[in-house]
Amino acid sequence: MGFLEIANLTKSFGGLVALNKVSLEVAQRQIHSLIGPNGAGKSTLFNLISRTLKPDSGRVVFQGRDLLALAPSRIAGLGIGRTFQSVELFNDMTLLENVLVGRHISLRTGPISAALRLGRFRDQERRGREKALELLRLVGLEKNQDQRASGLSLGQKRLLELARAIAVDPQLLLLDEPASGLNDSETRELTVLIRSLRDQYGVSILLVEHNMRVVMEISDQVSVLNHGVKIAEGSPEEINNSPAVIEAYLGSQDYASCQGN
Amino acid sequence: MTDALRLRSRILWHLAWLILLAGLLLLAPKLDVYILYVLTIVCLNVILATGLNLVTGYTGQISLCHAGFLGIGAYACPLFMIHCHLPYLLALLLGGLVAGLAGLMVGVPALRVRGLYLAMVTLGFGEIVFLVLHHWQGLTGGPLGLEVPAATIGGLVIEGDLRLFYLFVIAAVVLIIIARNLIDSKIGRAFRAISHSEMAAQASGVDLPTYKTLSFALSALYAGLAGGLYSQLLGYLSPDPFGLNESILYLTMVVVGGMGSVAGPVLGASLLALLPEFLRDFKEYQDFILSAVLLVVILFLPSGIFGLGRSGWAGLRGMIRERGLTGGAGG
Amino acid sequence: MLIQNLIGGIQAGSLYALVALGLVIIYKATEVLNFAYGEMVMLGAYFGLIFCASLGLPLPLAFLLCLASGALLGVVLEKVICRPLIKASPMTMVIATVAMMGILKSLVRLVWGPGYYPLPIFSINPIKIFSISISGNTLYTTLISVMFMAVAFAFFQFTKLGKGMRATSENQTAAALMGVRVPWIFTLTWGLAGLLAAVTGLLIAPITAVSPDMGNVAIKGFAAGVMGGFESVPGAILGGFLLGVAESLAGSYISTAFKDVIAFLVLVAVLVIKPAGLFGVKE
Repeated sequence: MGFLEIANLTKSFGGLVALNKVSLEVAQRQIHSLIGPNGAGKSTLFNLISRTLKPDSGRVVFQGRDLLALAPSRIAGLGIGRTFQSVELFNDMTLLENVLVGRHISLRTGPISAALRLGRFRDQERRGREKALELLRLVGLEKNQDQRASGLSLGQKRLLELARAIAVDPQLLLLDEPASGLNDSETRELTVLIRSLRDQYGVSILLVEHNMRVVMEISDQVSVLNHGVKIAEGSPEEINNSPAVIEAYLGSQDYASCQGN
Repeated sequence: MTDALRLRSRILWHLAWLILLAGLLLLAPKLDVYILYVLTIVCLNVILATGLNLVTGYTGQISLCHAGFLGIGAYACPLFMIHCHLPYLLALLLGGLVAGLAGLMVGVPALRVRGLYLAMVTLGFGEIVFLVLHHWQGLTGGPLGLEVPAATIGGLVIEGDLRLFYLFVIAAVVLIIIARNLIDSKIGRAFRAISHSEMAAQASGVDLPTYKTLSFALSALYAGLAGGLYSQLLGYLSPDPFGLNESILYLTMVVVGGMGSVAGPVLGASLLALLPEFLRDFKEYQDFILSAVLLVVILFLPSGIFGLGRSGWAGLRGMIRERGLTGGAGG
Repeated sequence: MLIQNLIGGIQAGSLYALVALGLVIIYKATEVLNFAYGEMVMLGAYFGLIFCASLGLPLPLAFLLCLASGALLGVVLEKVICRPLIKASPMTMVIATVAMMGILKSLVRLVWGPGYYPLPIFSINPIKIFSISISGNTLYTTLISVMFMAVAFAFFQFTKLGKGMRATSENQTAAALMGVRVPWIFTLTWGLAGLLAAVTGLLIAPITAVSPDMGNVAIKGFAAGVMGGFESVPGAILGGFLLGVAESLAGSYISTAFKDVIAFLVLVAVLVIKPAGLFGVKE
């Protein structure tokens, strides 16, 4: 039984077929990258897994659980965290509070104990804050814990979103273009972080990325999408040398610019 | 700001509130009856605005029917006292709960529609409540009114401006503290997350239906409790104070004072309760000024006056420069 | 008796339909829910007071001036509310138009006071068809509103400008790419809605007399618009007539209380059960 199994996932928008019978498997403790030219359907795939969108047909099974039967807010509870291509942060909240939202499920308090500040609430809050601070430390943002999220640079925002995703105690992380807009040193930090997530914390990572250097450097497995169809899959070396992949990228201008990154 | 400084400013802030409160309670017997009345109204508005802020300021949902929840609580409380012979405090609580249930009911369509359509749903609901209060004469007395029995708490009859004032102040303080506790907890954070990005909130495990309806229910509960207190102040109820114009007034308080902060509604409620006093000679201009202020604030000061205090002049200049009209709250 | 009810319902319905029409075209073209529309209608009636009653101008001229004033008001409001709010959140937009509602109403109260003014524009004797009496008012109101609706419909269907407006409401980017000047369309839409509002105000005034609270009719317009699905012009018109008839029948056969409340019950019910409207098609 696979860790994350995606089988024959299909999604159309109006007349446009965004994903056409795409199948994919992510193993445990694996960094699996999803690449492809713009419009290939990568973010759509993510949105289907995290239940932001409903597929037309297909299956998504995570550790034996059928994800398509669940509401979007139940995904985090299964141990799946995600970041967004557009960086969806809670801008008026502090960094600590942003990460604390990620601790939402693990905080066991009800309205009554919160309203009356009962002992159990205080205990849970304290633990939640400690854990959130720990996560901020992991991404190097603990000094700004009380700053508003809106004041961060793009690189810092992506790191904060990552911290929030890790806060759900995930076994699988869905990262949507985490390196987009980062400079070289930030990108390096990110790759170190992602690797340590796999090695030290045993987290599997499904990664959408345009930055080929990052993809080649850290991936265990790479899948390539084009026009909603999976056209290749294999190790980074195999993909790098695959004629089908090169052709797909040359067809759109992306490959050259990606190689340059 | 260093930890020590932050702690010190928080202590000072709380100390200021404590002094204000103590001062009010101690000075009260010496105050003019009319001033007591105005301050009592301020407390009433504060409770209502604080509750409304939960759903509007924090969760980003529009409500044009809060005067309706106020009305439900205002009628339910004395009706429980009259027909079920319940003591005042119990009737007050039950009245609040009935309003809270109504809020829950409004919360359900909130899940299906958003933004502008939600505004219309709340508008319709508020009008329905008003008309029911008006027409169900058997229960409410309709336009002829309902006489409210005097409240007794622990043997003490709450009549006279002074005792009413103490009741209102204590209620307001308790409810503000509870609101602040809720906001500074996973519930408040869930509310705020929803208003920023429903997608990201869900991805973090926040269940939208639960928290959206909870925000409506809680804010309606607050309005209902305020209503039960209000009925004591009025002594005689009619449907008039519970219509659309009043709902808009309460929304104005929250917007002008500052959505998304605990002190904002307090500020807004105080300002708007005191405004008629300052404009006593210009009674006709009151409505105009209120509406104009609302328009100016929503266009240029989306975080309200309190937000202005927080970010200061620099923030204001920046906002005007970029015509910061994104509103902040999602739809 | 039933026929009388139906006629009364159609008259009221024609007015609701006019209001819904104005609301829907603003919403479709500029995505603003104009809570101040009722006050624009109210001002139409007050324009009538100025031009007909106070200045004593001949009716056709006064009528035209009222329409022009209404259109001008629409354009002004577009500049003041709609423009700044293009990128704003729904909350901001609702509050801004609600604020505008209050501003207009209180301004009118300041200038004219809260009282009622009569505006008897139409004084025709009732006509009798098959022993059913139709008052001059009813006839004029229904005919004129239907006429304006037909003109509006023809405008949108057949004229280049009208088609441009429809294109803008479908897809602003595409319309702009096709050469439609979108900001101009916004101004035009609000101007047109203002004109319709003025007409509506003039038609309602003889029935209810002119007062600052006339704007409350807008809520019925919202209900009618919702019934038709706020995206559909014919739907809104149909919704208006349906609402008028439903109210009239409810008033006669159930109770006056129910007549008052049915519009809002419909509003809430439709939004909860079928937000796209009873006959609306999701675009």
